[in-house]
Amino acid sequence: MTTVPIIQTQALTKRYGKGAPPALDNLTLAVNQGEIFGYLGPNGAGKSTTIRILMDLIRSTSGSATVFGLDAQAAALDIRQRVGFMPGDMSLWSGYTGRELVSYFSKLRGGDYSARVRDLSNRLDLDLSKRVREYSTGNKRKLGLVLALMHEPELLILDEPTSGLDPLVQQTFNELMREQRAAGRTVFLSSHVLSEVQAICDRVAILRGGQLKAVETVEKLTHTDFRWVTVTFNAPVSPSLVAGVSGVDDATVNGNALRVRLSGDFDPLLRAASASYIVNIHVAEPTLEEIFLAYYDNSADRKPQPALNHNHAH
Amino acid sequence: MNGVIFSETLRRGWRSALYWAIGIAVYAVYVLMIFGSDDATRAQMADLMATKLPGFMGAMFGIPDDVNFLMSNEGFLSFGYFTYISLLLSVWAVLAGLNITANDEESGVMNMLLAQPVPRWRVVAERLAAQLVLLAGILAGGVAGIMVATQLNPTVDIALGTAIAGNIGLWQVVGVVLAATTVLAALFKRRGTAAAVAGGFVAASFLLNTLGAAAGSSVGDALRNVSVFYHFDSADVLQNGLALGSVSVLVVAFLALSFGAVKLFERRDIGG
Ligand SMILES: Nc1ncnc2c1ncn2[C@@H]1O[C@H](COP(=O)(O)OP(=O)(O)O)[C@@H](O)[C@H]1O
Ligand SMILES: [Mg+2]
Repeated sequence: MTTVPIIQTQALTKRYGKGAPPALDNLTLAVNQGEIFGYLGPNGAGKSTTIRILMDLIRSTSGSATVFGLDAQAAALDIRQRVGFMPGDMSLWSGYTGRELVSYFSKLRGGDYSARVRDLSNRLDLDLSKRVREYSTGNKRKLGLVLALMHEPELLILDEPTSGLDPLVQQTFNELMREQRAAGRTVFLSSHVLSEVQAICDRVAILRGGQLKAVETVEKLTHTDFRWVTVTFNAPVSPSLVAGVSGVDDATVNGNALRVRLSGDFDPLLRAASASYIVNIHVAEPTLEEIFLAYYDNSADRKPQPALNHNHAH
Repeated sequence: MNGVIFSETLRRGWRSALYWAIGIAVYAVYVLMIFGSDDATRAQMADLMATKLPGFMGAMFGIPDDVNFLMSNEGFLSFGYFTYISLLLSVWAVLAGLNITANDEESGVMNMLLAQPVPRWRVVAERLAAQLVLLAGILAGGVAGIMVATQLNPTVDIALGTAIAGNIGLWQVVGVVLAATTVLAALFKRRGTAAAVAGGFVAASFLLNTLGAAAGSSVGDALRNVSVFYHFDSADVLQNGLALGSVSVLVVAFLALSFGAVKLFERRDIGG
């Protein structure tokens, strides 16, 4: 294990244009070898901006960024040789087949990765003989994963890799990331939904408005985890129905629907609620902001807020 | 790996270049077939073009006012073929120039390409080089067309060397338009802006050259210098061969624009 962080930024700042507000504001962050690091934040937080600076697609306004201890701009070529990257939008030439792209990018890397490509495309159930224009968004992401992983890079930088993946593929994705970590490699991935990446991340950073708000282990953050549960009954109910129930806070009623903030297990809530006839139960993950507030300020306003990110589960 | 982008650009581009080559060859044959077979017909055509059109219009379309020259093989080839093809291939050059960086940046594919261990300058340089090769292939179609026409129409007599010299001049002019479009794309980032300005550059160059000639003043001559077309006088090339001065101007312009494109593209943020 090296002591040099795999990714290190110091007071990294980016303004798109003179006088524009910073899209990234004094970011100081270190990612260590062998960890899966989740880079979280709502849309517009500056995640892609950070990643694009690390990949030398854009240049910072001030501050520094290093990858493998090398300057992100000066050593961009060395870094790209050792990094697997998947951009957020995943655009590729529509006339190419998956196989043609793999072949082109392999040549650019100067290697033959066909065995690894076969393995990856099998596991992701991706048909490489199709043209990019025939791929669904999910399949384009799979192809992006194959292209990012084929050369077995020391570091993966993935911009929102899990958005648009169906649950089965998400499982494979998680496996692939864990294998990466088991091999001592590093993963830096962004997401705007904690629940999508909390199963695999060791640590996460929370970014908002270009500013780093928290860096925590996932255990600590998920410890403060809670959900918004809306129970719909067949008749109007009173909040007193769940008064004093363990783990239940902030009960509000809207007609037949009772909405509570639930931390911990479901059982106490369900037992109390089953006194009335239950029509539906709807569970919403808290937004990153809510998790963050809960983690840092337990006395913070817990009133339901307009959600920054929706992630509904029934 | 060096040369991979170059060969990939050729691989993806040869088919379209072949269509252009065939189109231009067919046009060359067609134009030279209608060239009058006897002096009387030629004189009639030349007279019509040189005298019946207002001077301004004649100049617009690159028609020299020297009737005797128009009657010659080289004269006819110059205005009937090179003037039009240089405009047509300028359209090709703008489209090809957008293919260097603008299209991939607009679509976001540049993010993927530059995630590979390829320096930015190599993307520009190898793609430009490949487009120059494809352009040479297209112009080879033109040379072939001219040569076929000399076989089909016995009154047309143009030496292979003359046809090649003319097309080398054309290759340079179109190459400069290609490099100019590339530098504009590197400068403006947005494809639409680059395309519009490049189109304006071609149109202005064409007008400056022909109107400058029509004006015939020293101001007109000075203006023409700025036009890329001014530096390819096909009539002169066909009669006297390539002129070192014009060749140098165009080569220097191409290299300077390409270098500028690389530098601008290396320094700025990638869009998308
Ligand atoms: N090319 C750009 N030009 C101007 N502003 C930009 C550009 N890219 C991103 N931004 C702005 O920078 C901020 C951060 O964006 P981004 O890094 O894409 O956020 P995220 O990836 O977290 O959604 C946003 O306010 C966005 O509008
Ligand atoms: Mg983003």
